[in-house]
Amino acid sequence: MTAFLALVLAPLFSGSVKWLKARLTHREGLSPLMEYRNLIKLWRKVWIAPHPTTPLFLLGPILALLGTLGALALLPILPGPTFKGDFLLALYLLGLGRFFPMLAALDAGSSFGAQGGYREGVVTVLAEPGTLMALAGAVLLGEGFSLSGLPELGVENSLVLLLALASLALGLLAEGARMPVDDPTTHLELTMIHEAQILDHSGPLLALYELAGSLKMLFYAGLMALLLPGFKPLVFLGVGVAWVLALAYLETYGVKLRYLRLPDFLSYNTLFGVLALLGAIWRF
Amino acid sequence: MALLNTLVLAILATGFLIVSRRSLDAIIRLYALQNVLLALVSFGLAGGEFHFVLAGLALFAVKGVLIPWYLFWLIDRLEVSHEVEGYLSVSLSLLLAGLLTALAFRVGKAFVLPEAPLPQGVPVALALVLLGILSMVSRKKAISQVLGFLALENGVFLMALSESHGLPLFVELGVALDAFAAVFLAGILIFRIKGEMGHVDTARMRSLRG
Repeated sequence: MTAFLALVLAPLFSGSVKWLKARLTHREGLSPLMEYRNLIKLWRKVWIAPHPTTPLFLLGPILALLGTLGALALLPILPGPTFKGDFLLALYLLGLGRFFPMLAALDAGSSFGAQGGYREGVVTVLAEPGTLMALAGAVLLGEGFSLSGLPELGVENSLVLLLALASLALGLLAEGARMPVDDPTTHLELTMIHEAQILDHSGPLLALYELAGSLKMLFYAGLMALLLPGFKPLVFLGVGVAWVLALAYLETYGVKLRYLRLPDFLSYNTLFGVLALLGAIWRF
Repeated sequence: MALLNTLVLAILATGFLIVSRRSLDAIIRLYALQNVLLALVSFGLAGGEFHFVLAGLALFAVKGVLIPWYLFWLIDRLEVSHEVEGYLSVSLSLLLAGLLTALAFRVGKAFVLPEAPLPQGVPVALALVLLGILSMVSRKKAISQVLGFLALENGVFLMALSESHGLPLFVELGVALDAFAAVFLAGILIFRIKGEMGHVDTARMRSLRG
């Protein structure tokens, strides 16, 4: 259910970020709904695989989408399946959806793809522990050791949950290939990370990647919505809108970090995650 | 209360940023922000008592505006580079900061007095003191060590704020002016160091001369 909701909203999400960014730089901007038409257009095109490729090249985009959708399906924003430890499964389904695109990028054998895949791998490795620990800390505070028992932001658990939220916010910037980590609009060899990885894919495969990219960001927004009090679907929409605003402003006025400075940036993510987990164990 | 918690956490976050940022300008601005947040906390705890508001205003004026302005003027006059040189890398100092904060939160509960108005502020105050000490010992330039001292002093202030029901107004004002006097003297001292040696790098001051 949640996955379906996210699938419908995802193009609107990335479309509105693009539209708002254009408006902020005093350009007309394409309508936020343009992203749907763009996806349909890409879907109708033929796709070309570079000559010596294996089925992995096809599997990358498909698993990127399926893994992300699977992770989203486990988020209890709308009623869905829930069991003990499902947050681990959700995070690692997302991880599966990142692993196969990297393999696909290596499979094509072009220098761009391989370089992008390796850079994305580094970002993923740096962002993963913080996110996992932040979420584990939040889950420990709730009941049932699952996503559906996550506690809501209140007076007595606010320190831990705010730390977890900060960690997830930094995780989203890294995962979504967004500004201080990666510039989603660049096509320069030195600066692109995610774009380089998907450069060899075209047509429907590219459409799958674009969709998976915005779904990934909605997954993190959904996690944050679960930690905030209120009626979940509405909170989810609210968090989504807040992120559209935040991302557009960040990407209009911010600058991209140098690639070698990334560990410094993402160590904040890890730090907040560690503190959230310690806080949950020691109950401060 | 939730708002106060958020403020306290924001103060902690500025503490982390002060330890880990590498630009003097950014650190001074963060220090000013930290003081504004502290003043907001003291307004939040006031509960209609006038001397609290007054102390908060004094804090805002002296430590939020006057000291940062003086520090900016100082680094302008000294003509040193605006980069902080430290013995530790960013991620290592963040890791140490995290460990120290965890330690502060672990032992913080033992320091809470029975009638503390803001018990969750105590561990954060301890953490700020430890972070201040960390940035004092891990940096080379005299100015960034002064900033570490100031962050430490803010920790002490937050501790007083969250433990007791605020110090008397004159003590608060005295402490704020004390901090300013200390920074002022440190500034003069740094000028003398610069005049004598041509640099303000404490790592290069190794030998004692009679």
